Amino acid sequence: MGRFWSLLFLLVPVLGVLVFVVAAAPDSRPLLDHWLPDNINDHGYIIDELFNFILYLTGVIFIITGVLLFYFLWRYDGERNPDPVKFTHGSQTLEIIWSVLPAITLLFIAIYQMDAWAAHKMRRPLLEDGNVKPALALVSARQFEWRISYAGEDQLVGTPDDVHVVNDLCVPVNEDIVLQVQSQDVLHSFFLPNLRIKQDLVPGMKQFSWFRPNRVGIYDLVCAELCGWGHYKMRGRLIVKSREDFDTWLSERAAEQRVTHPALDGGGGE
Amino acid sequence: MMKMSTDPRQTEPRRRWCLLLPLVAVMLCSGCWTGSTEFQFNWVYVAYQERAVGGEDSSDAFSEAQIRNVAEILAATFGTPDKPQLPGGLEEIDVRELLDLYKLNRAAGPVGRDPISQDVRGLYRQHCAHCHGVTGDGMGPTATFLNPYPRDYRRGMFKFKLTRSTQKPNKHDLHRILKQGIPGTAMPSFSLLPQDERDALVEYVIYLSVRGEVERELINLLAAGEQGQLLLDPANKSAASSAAVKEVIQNVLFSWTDIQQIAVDSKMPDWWDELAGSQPDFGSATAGPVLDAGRALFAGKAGCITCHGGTALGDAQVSNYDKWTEELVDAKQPTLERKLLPYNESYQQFGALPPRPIRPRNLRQGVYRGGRRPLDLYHRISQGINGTPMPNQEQTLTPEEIWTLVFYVQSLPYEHASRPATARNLQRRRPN
Repeated sequence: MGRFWSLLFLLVPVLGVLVFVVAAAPDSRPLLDHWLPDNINDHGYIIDELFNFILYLTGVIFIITGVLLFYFLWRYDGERNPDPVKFTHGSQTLEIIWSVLPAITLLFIAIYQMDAWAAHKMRRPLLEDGNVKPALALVSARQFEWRISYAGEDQLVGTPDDVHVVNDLCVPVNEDIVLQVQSQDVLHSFFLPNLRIKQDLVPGMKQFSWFRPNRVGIYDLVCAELCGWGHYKMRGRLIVKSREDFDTWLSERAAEQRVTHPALDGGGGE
Repeated sequence: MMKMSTDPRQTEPRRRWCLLLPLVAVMLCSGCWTGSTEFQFNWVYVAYQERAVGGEDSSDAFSEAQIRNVAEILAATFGTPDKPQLPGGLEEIDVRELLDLYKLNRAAGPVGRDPISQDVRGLYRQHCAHCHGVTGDGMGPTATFLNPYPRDYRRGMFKFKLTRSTQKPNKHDLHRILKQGIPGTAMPSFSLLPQDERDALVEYVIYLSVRGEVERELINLLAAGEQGQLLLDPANKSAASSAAVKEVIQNVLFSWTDIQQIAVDSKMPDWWDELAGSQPDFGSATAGPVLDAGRALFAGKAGCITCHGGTALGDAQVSNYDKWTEELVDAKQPTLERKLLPYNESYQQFGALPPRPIRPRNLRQGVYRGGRRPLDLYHRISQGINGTPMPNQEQTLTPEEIWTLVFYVQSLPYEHASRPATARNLQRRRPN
């Protein structure tokens, strides 16, 4: 067998890079839609830049180590190197280099990501008067659905004018959206892939998530934390509408909620 | 290669491969076998009727031939989980008015696609069977972890509907539950399934319910008949050959086709539009008297307080059983241990889930299982909740009184349970 094994190891960096290149290429048939989905969040580029930076950094290291591994397997194949192994006490210079270099790289990543963290966790959108923007809605995750309560006119969640919908998260376009997210039962994760938003939901924790969608359309809202047997079907829809359409939609939902007569019972069943 | 096989070091890895490869093959195939998909016979109800007919120690009041006879009638009338069929040969009712065989076939069978039309098939097993069971008995593999348990369709009783109290729901009602889910229970919303798939599931739920109810009625026939008597001549198992069996099937089908929507008085109370028309306003001065009237009804005439409790936390009557479990227990016994005796003795061995008492709803949580619209709340109060101790109050309360209660119940999540009514009134009178 001999050098056959070293060729097999060479396949690891080759195939690894190939998968990424094919996935990232536009119209890549076997792996279509396997790269990041369209970013429709004004703040999403921060996450994408961080992702790409770490991907390229680790990609380069992955290729170098993969090729080096192949080279050593090939060069020092047992059948072609009958001489006994020589042990040395190593090289202090080399050891310092391979300790310090990764330490510096990790430190750099730790500092570089701080902006992304702050953008998603600390810089909550403000109102004109300088107060934090109130939540448009409370998104409450439950095995296995998303219950959403819109704040209504008083801009407070948990009051009689709330509008309750299930699985349809509708938001106006080109506005800063703040959502209060929470779990009703177990660990869930609020994941909007097109907005680069992913927030773990811990039962009992009150958290906020914000974004600024810039394209009208229907996108995925999924649970990204294994939350039970029905996790795979815990799906909702993110519907981005213009401000007028959103207002109409919300008042329609509010009207459905006030139905008092069967003759008006149009929405529930259809 | 020859050189390798003579090397003694090489034979050991090869033996290892011989063991490893079959193991990997087994692992890859695991999950491919889906287990038996047959309708389960209602042994729990057989055991119940046997106890009723023969007393404590007659576990064989029905002969094996009789049970097999019932199972054969069901199979001949309703088909199998893979190939459902509609009862035929009925003179008085055309079953196709109620059920659509094409839709049933979309919901039935194993999960997959129709080879020709590419329609999604096996919807029931994909979305419902793990809780509600292949038979619709509410005893699917995940049922035991849930509280409340999934619905057993075989009783033909459904809770949340806009029809008269003990009547069947209409398809619209079942559709609404599929779309909205049931908050506060494990039933999720299926609002993102396409409309035609939800349609197919509604048909299939009705089909399972009809089948299960016919099964129960046939067991009732066994219990009413002479010992050892077969319902049908073994030579001719078509349901049409026995008038009694045919009548049972027709009666169950009639109960599904003969449904009336209740006539809600479309005249709302004068105050409704002002207080609850656009958005409920529980804090205004005009709401005060209505809420006081609602509180008085809640504690007095309507009697809500006896189960839901004075604070409406649902803590007053917590030892009742609903219709689905009352056959499994002896509710009249004083202690829990003795109440559960029938279950432990007879029904546990047939897979029945451990009975739990039904809890009245905590009305301060703002979670409404059957829907939060005033229309839904009106029906819950007016028609009761079928299969539960929540009574039908249509005769005892006037529509205005029910609307008052609806408004009061809607206000409960926003009222402080600990704040006495007098303090609330004082606060209301204080300007600004």
